[in-house]
Amino acid sequence: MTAKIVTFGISKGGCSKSISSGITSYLLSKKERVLAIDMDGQGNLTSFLTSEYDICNVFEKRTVLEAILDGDARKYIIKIAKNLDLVPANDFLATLPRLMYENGLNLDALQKALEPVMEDYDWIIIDTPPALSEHTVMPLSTYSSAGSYAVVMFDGSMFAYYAIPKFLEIIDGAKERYNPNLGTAGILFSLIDARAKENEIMEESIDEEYPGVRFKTIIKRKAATRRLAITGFDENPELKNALEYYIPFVKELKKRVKQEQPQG
Amino acid sequence: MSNKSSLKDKIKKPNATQTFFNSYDNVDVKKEDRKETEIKNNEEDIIKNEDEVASEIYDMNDNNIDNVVDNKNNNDEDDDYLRMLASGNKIKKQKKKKVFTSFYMDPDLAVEVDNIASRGEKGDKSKLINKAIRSLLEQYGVIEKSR
Repeated sequence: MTAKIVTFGISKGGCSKSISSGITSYLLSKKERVLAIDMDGQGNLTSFLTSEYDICNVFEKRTVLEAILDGDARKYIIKIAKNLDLVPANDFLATLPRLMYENGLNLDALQKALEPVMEDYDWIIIDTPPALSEHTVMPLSTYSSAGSYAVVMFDGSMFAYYAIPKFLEIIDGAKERYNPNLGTAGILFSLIDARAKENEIMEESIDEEYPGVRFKTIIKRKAATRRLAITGFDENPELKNALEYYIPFVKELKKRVKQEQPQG
Repeated sequence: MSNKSSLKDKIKKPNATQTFFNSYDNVDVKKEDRKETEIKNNEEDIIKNEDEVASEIYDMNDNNIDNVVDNKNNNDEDDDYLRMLASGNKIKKQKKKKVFTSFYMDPDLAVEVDNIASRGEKGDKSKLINKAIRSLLEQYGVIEKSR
């Protein structure tokens, strides 16, 4: 079966892209085969899934950067769990645009690197940096016959509110030029402070502006989720608590990508 | 860019996302241009390689012919000029195109040449050396006599 591609993004930092893509990868891998791809040079998804923080040395020349330049991701896949693999990233991913230019690569370079593994997974989950750059645009430009989707992260702030239309523009651009199969899976709220009085106004504003696009599930940030980066998933006594909001989100995501997508 | 399209650009500015994607369109065009240029250069290189030797020989011969003609025309003038210069008189004369080179001279000749040249202007030393070598090579029959 060909992999469905889900890219987590928004042009604002701190909206839980890495945590959300990491937990989604973990939850999906319970029943299906998942390849997580870190397209952010900060390597937070890499650290989150591997518990390795010395990413520059440990993953030296074994990252998504080399996978893209080689045009084949297979050599750069590392095993995380039974059904969960990862193509890691480290700080050297900053050199990607320059190297792409030097090597005459276009925005379909990630697509080419992933083609050899597209049939090996049910899901490809991609984390992106908060920027309009190759790192963000290439995942969105990656076509899959099973469908490519974007999850737009939103933290409830004004900065993120104004970043949404910009990210939707990137989705439109990628869809128009490279990936006609790209859809917006939805806008996912990941609230920093669930008690903030503006949250309700934000929900209403998003619903008015992008009707039907917002995920019904709202992620309320909690310490147990944050501690996953320290404690990991295995034998974690607070795992259920940490995943509380993500379990319904993943169910909703799966449901959404199986049906016709609302467009942002 | 026409005035109309310039105004249109000001009214309808492309956003950052469009500019980003457009930049890759430009890269594609540049890449195509580069490929075409490379192909053209390769073709030219092949032609050059085939004709290189002949062409260079031709150029050398051509230059030699030009030089002979040029030198014949100018030799009389140089001769008169240097004669005047050696005798202590100074004549204003137009400079001619030369090729830069260097060589070792015998010290006594170098001193004498420098003395003569010091009375003239920049380039007179070269003229004197050229005149001397030309005269010798004509005598040896290496080059055609200028008159």
